[in-house]
Amino acid sequence: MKKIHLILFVLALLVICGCRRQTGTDAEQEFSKDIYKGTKGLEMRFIKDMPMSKIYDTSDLTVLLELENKGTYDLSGTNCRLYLSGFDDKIIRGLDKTKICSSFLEGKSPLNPEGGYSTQQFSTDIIDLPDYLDSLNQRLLLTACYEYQTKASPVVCIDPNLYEIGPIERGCTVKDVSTAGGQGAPVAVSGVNVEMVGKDKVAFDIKISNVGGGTVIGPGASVFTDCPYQVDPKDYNIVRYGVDMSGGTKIRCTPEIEGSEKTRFVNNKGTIYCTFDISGDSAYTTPLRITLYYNYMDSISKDIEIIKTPG
Amino acid sequence: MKKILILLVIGFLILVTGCGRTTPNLEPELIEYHKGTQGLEMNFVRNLPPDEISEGSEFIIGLELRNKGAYDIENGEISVSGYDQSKIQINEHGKYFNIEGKKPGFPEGGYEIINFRGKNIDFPKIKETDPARFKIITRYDYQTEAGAEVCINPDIYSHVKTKEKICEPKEIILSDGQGAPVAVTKIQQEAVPFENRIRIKFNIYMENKGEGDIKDNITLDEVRLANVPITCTKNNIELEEDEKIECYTEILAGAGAYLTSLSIKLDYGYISRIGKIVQIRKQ
Repeated sequence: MKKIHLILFVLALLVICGCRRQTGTDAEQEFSKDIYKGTKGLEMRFIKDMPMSKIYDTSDLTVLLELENKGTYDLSGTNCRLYLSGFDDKIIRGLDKTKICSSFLEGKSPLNPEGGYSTQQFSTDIIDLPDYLDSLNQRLLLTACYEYQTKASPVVCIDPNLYEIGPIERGCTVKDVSTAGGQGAPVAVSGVNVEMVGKDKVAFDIKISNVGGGTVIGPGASVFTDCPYQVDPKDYNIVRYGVDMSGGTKIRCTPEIEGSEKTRFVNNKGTIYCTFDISGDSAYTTPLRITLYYNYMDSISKDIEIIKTPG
Repeated sequence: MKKILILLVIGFLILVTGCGRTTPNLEPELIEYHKGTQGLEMNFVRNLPPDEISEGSEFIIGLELRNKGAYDIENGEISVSGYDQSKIQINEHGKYFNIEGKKPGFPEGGYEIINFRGKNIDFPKIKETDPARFKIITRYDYQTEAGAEVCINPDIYSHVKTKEKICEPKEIILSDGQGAPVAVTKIQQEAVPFENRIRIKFNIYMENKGEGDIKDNITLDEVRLANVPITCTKNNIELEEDEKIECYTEILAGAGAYLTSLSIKLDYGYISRIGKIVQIRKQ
């Protein structure tokens, strides 16, 4: 009996020790894949009961927010601003209407895979409800305006001999690349169509989309002075882009708006079309480096009811 | 030992689930005083006067007055009339009264009983019964304090594309009254751009929803947007001719929409009437 117990114990030890443990390198690689994914930028939330949904007009009003940078681009007081509106400032007085998001809200990185976290507060103790109003509803609107960037590097296959007939050893297959899941930003590169144009040119049809649920504003607008209420209508849904590739020389990218490499979203979707000169005699893979520059506007709201204090 | 253990576990479970901590309900309670279309409610006290009185007897006309509105009545006047003074003698033709309206700490409003003493002093000899008609009239000053939530949208071209919508300016129907017989029933809004501002016009409609009559005209005491008075085209309103008043304000264009209050105060005299027929019976 004792021998059986000993054998079972040894077997158990073997099973436990035999389970393959991920090496540090593998774990890091898994992490970094997740960091550069996602469709969110700045996430905002009202902290529970701050403010409460019903308050007396003699109470303090405190709006407390949780802010998280769930994308990969750093935010700070120089490129991110919060605006509080939706209330009558002749009734709720002394409430700041704008503040910076935070002094620093780091984007996701290998050292900080969750991204930066901060809180921000707006408060007042002056509520002046008109005399014969028993209550008043207010919908507090918190709008964030911030600068952001999307960086995508889909790996594409370039084959100068695509149209050659005969047995050719090809290092890769020219095909469209899907980049679903986002790149850690509210504007995402959703896919790249690759087309070889003869032996020495390649064309890319890059699909981008606004996946964050908010509003894209062109990088020319200011998050401090224009967003959210003074944005020129022509600045909505504009993204500036930069496209680059190793082993190729950019010929041209379109569209252009006012002479700059910019594209406009229609129904939250946009397209960039680029052609590159290529050299070489054999197929190879290379990253297509795409950077998108834009401002982003998003909002949350909270309903409160201000009740006249009895007596 | 096992039994003791089971008992301990059960006892522990009961303790844990039974000790529910009840937090006090800290949520503010809304009590609406400015609701309803009644002002002064007037009724005869039961059997005062009775339906029948004997020839030559005394009787009391008892009146219950309740202020069902949100305004205090001061120096209200109540009078008895409509009867044949050669047959009926009333000790006083009129009295004054003060009754508080609904307010915090006084949610039902004030209550008062007023009595008039009467006596039958003459009776036709050939009749078995003779009707006496009593008309009770009250005259009092009242006030309607109406407040409504209105949406102010300085961005009338809808350039601003926030995901969340605050509100939309729209016609407001006020069907519940404001704790007074004259009620504001509808508010319409029109916005017109004017240089870098928006001019907003409010059309305010009102009706006599009580069972009495307005004495003379209604005076528009004030109209305020939040706590700021705004200008109106008329201060003196005859309800038969003027179904609405127009009020204006201007705001800066380009900011976000918000909800605010439009407060309207109306002053007027009001007249209420009730009546009763009492049969005087030959003794």
